[in-house]
Amino acid sequence: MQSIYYELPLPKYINVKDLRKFILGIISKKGELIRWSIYDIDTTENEKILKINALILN
Amino acid sequence: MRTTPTILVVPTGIGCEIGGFAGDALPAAKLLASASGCLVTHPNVMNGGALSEKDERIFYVEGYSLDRFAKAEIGLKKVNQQKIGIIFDKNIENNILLRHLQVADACIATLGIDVASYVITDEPVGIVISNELSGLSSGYIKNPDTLIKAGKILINQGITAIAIVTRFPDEVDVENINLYREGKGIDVIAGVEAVISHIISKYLKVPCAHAPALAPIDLKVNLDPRAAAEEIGYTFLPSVLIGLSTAPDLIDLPNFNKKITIHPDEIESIVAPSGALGGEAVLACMERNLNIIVVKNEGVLNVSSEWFDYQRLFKVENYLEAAGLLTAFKEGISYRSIQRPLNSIKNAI
Repeated sequence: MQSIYYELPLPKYINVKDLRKFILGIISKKGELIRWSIYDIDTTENEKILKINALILN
Repeated sequence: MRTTPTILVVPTGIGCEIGGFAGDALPAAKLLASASGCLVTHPNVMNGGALSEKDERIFYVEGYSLDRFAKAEIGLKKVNQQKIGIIFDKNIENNILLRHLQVADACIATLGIDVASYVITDEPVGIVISNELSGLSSGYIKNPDTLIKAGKILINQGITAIAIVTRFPDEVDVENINLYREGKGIDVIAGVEAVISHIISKYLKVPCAHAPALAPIDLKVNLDPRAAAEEIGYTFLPSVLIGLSTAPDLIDLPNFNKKITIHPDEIESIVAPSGALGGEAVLACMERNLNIIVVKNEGVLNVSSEWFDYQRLFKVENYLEAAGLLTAFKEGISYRSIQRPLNSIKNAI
């Protein structure tokens, strides 16, 4: 079991209704997801960064 | 009777003012169940150590399964009674194990709950509490396989719902536990508790919930009332058994053979704390264009509505206001009709 932290730049074009699948498309590659959530969102000058913690069984 | 089926989430281990302690969101859940007529929520909301309550309108669904329900992957089927089995962690000492077995007997004798059998894991589950994320409760277990194996033994014996009791280390963060008992901190073990029940839900697909086994702690004078339910008695198992006793069956979708009491398509709203909109259930409900009712209920997270451009988002000050909004939805009253100023309708073009 592994705890993984991601910082995903949020594409500007993305609709909120597609956000979950966008995140899963990236974080589910590492193994079986047990628990995940966005725990913070940062903004820089040009973009939003999603901070995600995922617990994965591999 | 009119209903507006609703999901209520108060994520575990993020220190919410309401729901961040020992079943202290239960009164809010009862209020929302009364307003909506049908509420689906999770053990963190309902479990108050030795205290809990049954409510015909509330569906008790573990967090991982609740996320699946929000994603429309499962439906819920009401049952009169679940046949409960208990998994005990091999690390639990005999005297603590005996206390838990007596709780199970008490729930049979006094509440009429069907607790059928128990199994002890082959290996210690291995709880690891982590503080990688400062201010958040998180962690993992070293031996998920032993948990799954024990659960399979119970299911093969006809068990339909599983309570899990694991031994948490005594040397956990004492300072933070004291802060929690004073109502100032987060529940440091809650994150791992969620991991344990998520594993059973994911791999065994039955109703389940977790209670930690802890050594007795010293009496505390300045205890916060919200944490007081965990100071009653020797175990946290009663609320888990009460919740599971009538937890709904989880029906994989699509399914044309089994009668489903609540199909996820019937859900109209989800109620969540204002800073906790980054969980899978809320995001799945946005995906499905449902009402997101955001309640001011501060915790350590700040994933708030300002980040989401979403039309059907309703910000309210408290759960009383959320209940009013759900009542308006249920009765078919436009919430705008009750707000002032009331503006004239606009030309759509």
